[in-house]
Amino acid sequence: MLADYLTHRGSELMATSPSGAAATASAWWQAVRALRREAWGESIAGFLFVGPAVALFLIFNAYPIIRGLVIAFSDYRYLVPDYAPFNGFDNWLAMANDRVFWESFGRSLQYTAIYFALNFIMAFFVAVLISQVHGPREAGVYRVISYLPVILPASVALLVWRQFLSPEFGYIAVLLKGLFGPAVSAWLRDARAVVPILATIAAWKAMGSNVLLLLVGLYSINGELYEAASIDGAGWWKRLTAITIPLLLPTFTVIFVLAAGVLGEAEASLIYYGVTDAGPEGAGRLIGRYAYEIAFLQGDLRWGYAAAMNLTVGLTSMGISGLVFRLLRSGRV
Amino acid sequence: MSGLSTTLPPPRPRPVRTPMSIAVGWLIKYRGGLSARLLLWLLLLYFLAPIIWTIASSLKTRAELFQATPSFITLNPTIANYQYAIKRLTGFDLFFRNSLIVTLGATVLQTILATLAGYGFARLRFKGRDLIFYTMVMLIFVPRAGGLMAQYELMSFLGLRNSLFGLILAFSAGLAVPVFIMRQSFLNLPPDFEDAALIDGCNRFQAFWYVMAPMATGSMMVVALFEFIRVWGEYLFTLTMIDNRDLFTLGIGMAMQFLGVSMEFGEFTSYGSQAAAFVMASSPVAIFFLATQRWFVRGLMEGLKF
Repeated sequence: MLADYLTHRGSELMATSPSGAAATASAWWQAVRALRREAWGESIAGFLFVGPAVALFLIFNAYPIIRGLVIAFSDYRYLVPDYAPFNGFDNWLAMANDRVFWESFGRSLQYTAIYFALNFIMAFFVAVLISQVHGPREAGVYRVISYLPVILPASVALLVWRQFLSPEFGYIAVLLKGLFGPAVSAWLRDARAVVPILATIAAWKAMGSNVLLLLVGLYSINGELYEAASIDGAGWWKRLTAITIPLLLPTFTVIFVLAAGVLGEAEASLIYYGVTDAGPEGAGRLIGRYAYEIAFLQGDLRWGYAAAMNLTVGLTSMGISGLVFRLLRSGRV
Repeated sequence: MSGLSTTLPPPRPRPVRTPMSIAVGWLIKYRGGLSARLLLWLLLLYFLAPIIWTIASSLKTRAELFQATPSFITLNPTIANYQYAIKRLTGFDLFFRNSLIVTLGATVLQTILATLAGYGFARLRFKGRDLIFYTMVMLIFVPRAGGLMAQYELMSFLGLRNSLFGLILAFSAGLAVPVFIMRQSFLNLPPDFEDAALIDGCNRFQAFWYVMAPMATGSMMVVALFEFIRVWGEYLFTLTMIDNRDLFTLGIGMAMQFLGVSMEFGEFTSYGSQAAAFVMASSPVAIFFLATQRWFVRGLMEGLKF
């Protein structure tokens, strides 16, 4: 659960762990069954301790979640006064015919795929390399460096990358021009580069927390395993594939499941291109951004439709993470 | 016996330690890990490059900034960009103050509430305790369909839009995970201390305040650091809830300025002073992180062994 928090989405966590959800659901059901048998005990003290937190949580966190589920099944338009008729699954019918929805959804899937590939591979190698550094002080420095992007404010991180990748004066453009000539740096402007660029930035920003998670996993692997393997003649590649990766599978699962919320992410594009501009040829319009535009910028603010979209994205990422969870589980002996 | 002194070899001159010899010695000592380390540095460069580049740009002179081939680092640093940014970014101090109020407020409030509730859920027996706790945790797994919309509606209804206090309340309400962390931390503490305090005549709150809470400082730091980082960097929620320019936080102010959405934030385009603004906007959270990272990594390592 602490791991959940690492995504810094806190209350907005869309990422869900199937096993966590199942365990929580059964614990919840047991608590319901036990309620009748429980004594009042230290109830006054208890309510005084948990009361303020629970009250705040219920008002600002639990209520909007429930309310959102209701909105998703209505034709709520914020700017039309007193208009929020229940319309069943009509929002989904509209979605099926909405070309922009499918395009944005496709972009988001691509974005998520790139984000994951980068995150998994880079974070894994960085964590393995850091775990082999023996000086505690030196390893500490590396851990801090890899965590630095995580602490940067989202707007600063994206604006810094915007400068860095700016087609005119950015360092990358100059580098590319110097190495391959002006033609290559033109792809920085290309609509097809938009999603990869945004995904790379988002991965850069989030990778540090995955490095830390993997390091925690790596540090907890018993060193004797590696010694035994070395004595049996296993090289580093064999040790990596036979010991490290299998033992890290649970951590990989956690990372994957946590990052599933990336599918509905809107912030990166909203900061990188601004709220009113969706990038070249609208290529920065990921699904989260599209829902935001519908809810807060377009026409009479169709909140029902936008909420239905968010719900679809949330259920899709739950489904994907459940699938991957089962795959990783079955791969584990 | 006078020959003794003559047979002794002259003392070996101490090796002169030049930077070169230190480097060579270091290379010999660590040659095994060197290729791995070079690879690691290369990978870490990806983490650091944009950060170094921004800090360097913020210190460059005008001439260096507009070189045809910009250099990665600066040779004669200047603080002119910072002075220029402070002078021209109208409202920077205001936004900075707003960010500080919201972040500190939310961090303090959330840490206190999470600690109290974590203790209550871990140590007190009362009716419905587990039901309340698991309901809180379970809501993490429900998709946020309404997202910003339901929150917008709620905040308008409560009259908390365009209010820093509203932001503080909304941000500190993300309590499910902090409460979970604090509950775990109190569950891991041995109950004997508290029992002893109760027998010695403390009441519940005193036992919590004087005995148990001080032992959970590590987890409190983890909760506080996460909240500080999250709120300081928050963008979308603040953007949606705040229309009044005087209440913008830094994140919003910066994005508005540099994306040209609103030109009210003073006009300048030089990326040297932009970089200076970025550095200033990130410094509080960086300082807070560097000051607490010792607890943070330890707390994380302990915390993940739930």
